[in-house]
This record gives sequence, C-alpha cells and structure tokens, in this order.
Amino acid sequence: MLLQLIKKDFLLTWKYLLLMGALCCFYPIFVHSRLTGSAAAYAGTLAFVLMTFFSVLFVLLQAFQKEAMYPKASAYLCALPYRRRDLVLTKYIYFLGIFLGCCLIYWLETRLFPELGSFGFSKAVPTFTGVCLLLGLYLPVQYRLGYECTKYFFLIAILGFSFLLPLLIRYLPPEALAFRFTPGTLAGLFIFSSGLLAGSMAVSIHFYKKAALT
Amino acid sequence: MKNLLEVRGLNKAYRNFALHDVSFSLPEGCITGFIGVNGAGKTTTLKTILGLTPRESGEILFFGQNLDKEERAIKERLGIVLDSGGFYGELSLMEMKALAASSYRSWDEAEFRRYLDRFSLNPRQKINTLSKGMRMKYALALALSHKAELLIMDEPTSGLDPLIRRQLLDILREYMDRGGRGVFFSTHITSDLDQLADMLILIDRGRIVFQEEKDSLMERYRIVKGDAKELSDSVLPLLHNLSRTAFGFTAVTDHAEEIRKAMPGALLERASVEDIMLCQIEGGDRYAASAD
Repeated sequence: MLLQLIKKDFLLTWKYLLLMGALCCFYPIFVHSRLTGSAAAYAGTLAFVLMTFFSVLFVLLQAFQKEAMYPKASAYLCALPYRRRDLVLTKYIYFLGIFLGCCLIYWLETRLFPELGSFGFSKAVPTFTGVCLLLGLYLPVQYRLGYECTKYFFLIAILGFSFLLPLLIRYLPPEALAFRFTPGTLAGLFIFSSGLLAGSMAVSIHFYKKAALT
Repeated sequence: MKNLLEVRGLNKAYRNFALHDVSFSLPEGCITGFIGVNGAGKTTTLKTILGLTPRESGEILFFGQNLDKEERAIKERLGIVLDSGGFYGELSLMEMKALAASSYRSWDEAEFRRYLDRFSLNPRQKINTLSKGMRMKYALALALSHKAELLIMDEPTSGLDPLIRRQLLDILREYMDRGGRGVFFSTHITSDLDQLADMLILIDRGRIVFQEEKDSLMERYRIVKGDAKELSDSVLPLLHNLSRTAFGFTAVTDHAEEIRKAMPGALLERASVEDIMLCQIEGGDRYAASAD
C-alpha cells in the first residue's frame, strides 16, 4: 500500500531525480578536480553535503508542485481507503530514500576515486541531521500553508541562512567542519535527528488530517 | 429497505457559504439524484460526507457504521467518481490504476480489464491525453472494479456529449441490476435523472429543500398552460414559475386537482425534474416552466 504511494511520488518526479542524480555523481569530482592541497581534502565532502541538501530540496519542491498541479488527485486518494497518515508518511520515506541514494552515489564515488577520501558515519550522520532539519521544518509548514506559501518561505529562509553561514563557521568547532566526530556525538546527532523527524511527522499528520481537500 | 447512507444534522461553514443542518438518507436499491444549481452545496456535501473536508457538526453513517470510527472499512465499500476524475495527469492509466487498486482489499483485476476493453481504453495511455468522456469512463472503471456497494459520483455527466452520457447511464443501470447496491449522483443536468433516478434530493443555498421519490414528485407536479384571462386570485398561489405571454400563460403546480377544477380549460402536462427544481429554489420562480 505505502509502496504504491512512494512509487507515485517517484513517477511524478523521476525526471528531476535523474537530473539531481547526475549532478550528485558529477559535482564532487568536479569540485575536487578544481582544488589542490588541504582544501581538496574537504572539497569532495562539502560537495556531497551541498548536493544532498539541494537534491532533497529540489525534489521536495517538485513533488509538491505536482501535488499542487493536481489538487483533486489528493482528494481522490483520500476518498479511497488510504489514510491521510499514509500519504504523509510516504513523503517522509521518499525523501529519506533520496538522502540514502545520495549517500550511495557518494560512497561508490569514494570507492572509484579514492582521492575523494573515505565515506562513513562521520559524514553521513551530520548530513542526515541537515536533511532532517530541512524535512522536519519544510513538511509541516507545507501541510499547514500549502505549496506556494511554503516555497517562498523556504527560499527566503535558505537565502537568510546563507548569510548566517560565516557566523556558523566562526563558532563551530574545527572538528565539526572537518567532519571529525566522536562516536558519542554521532549517536547523539542521530538520535536528535530521528526525534526531530518523528516529531515533524506527527505534526504534519495532525495538520493534514484537518486539511480541507479541494 | 435499509439505508446505505444516513446524514444527520450536517453543518459546515465557509466565509461565504454554509451547509445548514443537512440531513438525508439513501435507501438500498435506489439511484438517488442530488440536484441543485451551481454553488448550491452539492460538492461541499459530497466532500464532507467523504471526510475530505472537516465539518462543524453532524453524523454520517454508511451501511450503519460511523464514518469517524470506521472510515477505512466504509471506503472499501464505496466507489468514487469525482468531477473530472481527480487523477495525476502525468501517470498512465495502469500506473494510476495500481495506485487506486492497492488501497482496496477486494480489487478485481479481471473486472477492471473487462471495463478497459469495453471502453476501448489503452492502459499505456497517459491520463492527460484522455478526453473528458474517456476520463469519466476510466473513473467509472476504477470505481466499479472492487465490488463497491455504493457508488458516489460528483457531477459525472458535466461536459459530456449526449452519447457518452447515455452510455454512462446504461452502465449505472447494469450496476444496479446486480442488486443490493445504490448510486448517489450529484448533477445540475437534471435531464439525466428524468429516466434514471428513483429518488431525488434537492439542495439550495446549503439547505435540503426536499428528499422524495421521483415518481411521486413527477405525479404531483404538472405544467399548466392556459388562457391568461382564467388566472384568478384564487389560483395564483397554486402556481409557480408563472410566465405570461400574449397567447396565454405557462406555470408549474403541485395542486393539479384544484387547478383542474378552477380552470377546466387549462392544459396539464407532465413536468420535468428541471421544472420541479426551478420552482423550489430561491430565484427559480423567475424562470418559466420549460416543457412544451
């Protein structure tokens, strides 16, 4: 049942997935090839983090744009025996799937191009936290305010965040910027991210259960 | 006869429109036409009873079960046809079918294939390339392929050509012939209901005006035609939608016997569902009875 809902999201966004998949393959290698010395050591990882974040965000926007294009389709699905909860859950699962896909692509790249460095939990977990923050905030706002409002809200938020980036870099410990975390920190980040996502899911389900479908 | 659907005291308010204490029931074995002009509240009522939009108050019972408690079990037994389908246009017929079918435990793939063949639908075709008529047939194929006991249709004939409308009506008759079923059919094209419906529910400005068997309504209402000179103060209150011309008058009445006695020269003809609807809704009395 849930599988068909995930497949629906895939069918509606596969063109964008292909594009982002290609960029995920190409971008870390491109960035790494343009840099030398100590900067090159972090370049691949930063490219991976950026591409994962933008892949999830881009496909997220596309998926909800398609839902906004066919508003009666959501109403139709909810008139079938699908629960509204299922429709929300599958969105979270789908976007986590995209994150895993990005990890898999980068992991394969580090195998094929060892100069990119290694890929393990120390890189995957902090990126997971970033993706969870994005999904955890975006999806409840989307289910509460709809596609148009959410799109502008998040574009402004992301632009605002990029201006805060220098501050963040100044105050973050150098180990964090170099993706060197203790196992305890990684476990803490993972638990925090999972909790955030679970809370966000509950809020999204709550909003969508009360939504009037057109 | 048991009721497939009972709606009691349904209230729902928007900024510019509200459903007021909507109550009605659908008996088993009946095709029920839900009629009213555009904006009367038909679609809002359908969406509310399907749980697609929240309600302020009211109780909704399908097959004797409460929608709030048994939503999933109830929806297993419903066939849904929404206005213009409600599909993802970029999916193919088979892809959309897979999505709908996976929600039903009693999905009958062989039945669905039979409908596709019968309607000459290509399963690989994209939904956004279907004409409105084909899209409606596809919606029907989905709605009828899981042994639905109640078919709920929102404006299914709107925008369809007469041939496809006739085919749709034939399919509904076939569906009803299997017994123990019901159809709830909202429309503003009342001519579809003249032959098909067993029961009529009229809604106007968010309020139910009447729920009655179509035959008894058709028996009671008559178009009256006669000489305008015969119109006296005593008969005027018995006439609706009165239209006077140089040659005479036309009106609708639900007091046929009294009119016959008071106006022996008047001609009384069978009224259509549209005539009955117009004489019952606010503003409808400005329009003359259409039968000739």
